[in-house]
Amino acid sequence: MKNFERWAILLELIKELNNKDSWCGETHIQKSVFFLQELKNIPLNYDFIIYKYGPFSFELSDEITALRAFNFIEVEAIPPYGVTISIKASKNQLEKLYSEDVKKYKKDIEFIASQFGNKSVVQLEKLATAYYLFKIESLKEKDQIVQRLRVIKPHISVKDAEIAVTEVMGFN
Amino acid sequence: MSKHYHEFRDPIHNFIRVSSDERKIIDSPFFQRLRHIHQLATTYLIYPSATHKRFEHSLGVMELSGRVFEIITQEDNLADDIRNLIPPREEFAEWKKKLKIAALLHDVGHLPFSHAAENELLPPGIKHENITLNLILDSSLTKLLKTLGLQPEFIAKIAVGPKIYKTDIFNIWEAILSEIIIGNSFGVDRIDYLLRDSYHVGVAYGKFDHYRLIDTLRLLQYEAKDDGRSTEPAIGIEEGGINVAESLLLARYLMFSQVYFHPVRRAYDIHLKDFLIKWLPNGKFSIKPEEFLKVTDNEVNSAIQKSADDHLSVAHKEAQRIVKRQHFRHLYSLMQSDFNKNPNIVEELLTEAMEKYGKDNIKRDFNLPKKAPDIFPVLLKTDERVVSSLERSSTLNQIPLSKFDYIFAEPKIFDQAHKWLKDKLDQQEK
Repeated sequence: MKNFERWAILLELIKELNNKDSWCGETHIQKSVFFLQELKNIPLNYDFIIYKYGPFSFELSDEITALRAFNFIEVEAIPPYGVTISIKASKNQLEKLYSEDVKKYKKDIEFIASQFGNKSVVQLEKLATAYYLFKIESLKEKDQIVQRLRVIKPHISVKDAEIAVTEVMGFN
Repeated sequence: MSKHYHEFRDPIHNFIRVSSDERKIIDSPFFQRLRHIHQLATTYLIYPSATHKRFEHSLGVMELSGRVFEIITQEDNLADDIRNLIPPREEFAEWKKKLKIAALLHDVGHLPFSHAAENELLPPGIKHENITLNLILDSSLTKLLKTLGLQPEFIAKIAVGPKIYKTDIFNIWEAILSEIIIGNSFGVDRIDYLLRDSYHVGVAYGKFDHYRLIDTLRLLQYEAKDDGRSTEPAIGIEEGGINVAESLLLARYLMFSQVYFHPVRRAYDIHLKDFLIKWLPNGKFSIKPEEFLKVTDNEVNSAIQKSADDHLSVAHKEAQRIVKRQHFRHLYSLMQSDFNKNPNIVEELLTEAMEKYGKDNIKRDFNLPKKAPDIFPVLLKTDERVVSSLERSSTLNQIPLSKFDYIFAEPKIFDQAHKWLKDKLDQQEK
């Protein structure tokens, strides 16, 4: 996928997250893109590793900065909370040029934004990490995933880990 | 009595003190090789005194890593919640030792001329950080680290960070140690290179009060709320350091705009890369440790001179561009207004110019910004809340993110190409 196509899809996702009244910080975008790629199989080709708050792509983080540098999005700190990201240009040329690609994935983008946009960072961390272990590390047994999740993120309780794993195992 | 500590004189940090173990690593062939790798590649062809090397930068990064470690782990500077997430105080001396060695070695895998010729001269997907990883894990350095009682795996992990080291997940403490070195906002790699580069280039705008900055660095954690913030600890600043943090980020922006992205320097980088593609066996650098050790800027510069003098050399033309200063001229810079009208404008201009003036007479170079450095936690003095830097400072969000997209033209066709481009852009304007 060409970078601009990816950018157009990212912008559509941010727009949807904004529409769904998501807080839309970088963590929301990171986890939503992870689910778009791994749950909905959209070939975005980001390399996700387990890092801050679960699956994280450095390349995606750079691209969010690039979107900001080209004035597509803006970041704003809203006290007493953190930084939120919103679409800056209501109409942009990328949207026109890559409207077909965006259209192709629109339903998936809307689904991901509605499923994950309003979750807190803490919830997203649990779900996305559990799904990473299920899909990327190919752990198939619930107990295995719970155990591994607790090793990676020891601050998540056994009960919370079990709830998250049950939820993600129902995704497929 | 034998000395356990040794000193290097340094124009940025005055004295850099190293232990006997650190000195053994400094004296190793892989580290000594850095004496012959220019920190700023071909920048000395534009700013003549920018001839400093990766060697002294690596020493500076080691020195600063120790200072930052001391500050952020100082008892008074640690909040209770954070103290529980990091190792006990009695282990700090050992962690600091490991951190300093990782900092010392963070650039050991740099190719000749640093970043200038990296992208197309290594196997796909390999960067200098991957070579650093490989040298620490599988060379004579590995043995040396082991004899000093250090685990090469751990040193490599901290030196290159989570973006490159994918064998294992980083725990909170490992992520903090790595952030001290290569962190996006306050990594000591960045602090040292801005100060050192501006000193050697001879520009004042890369300077900032790094003593004050380091003194205000803290390990901070946001309070958990249902918003977009991570509550994992990160390196931020105490409120008193906000203005110096602003000046660091402004210095960074100015250094990128004026020095690192200088169009003539970028043109020389292209010529150097073109020379190396023809000069190197199979057009690639070897990443085998023993081969890697043999090639520095000295060997490359000597080959450039020889090729420039020898009209039968395969890389004669490329070498002459550097030696005789026949570099390509800066034809076009992407402007935001052009991009707004047509995001593909550079590709379109490039294709058309190449068709019109020949593929070999037109070149392109570009760089997109990496992760934004202006978002970090700030500890407020009054109520000890931790807030986002963008909430505390209205300046940070105003500092532009550095990027460029340039097209260059061969000097002989530059005037024609310039006129053609001007007419083309005028037409588009209408």
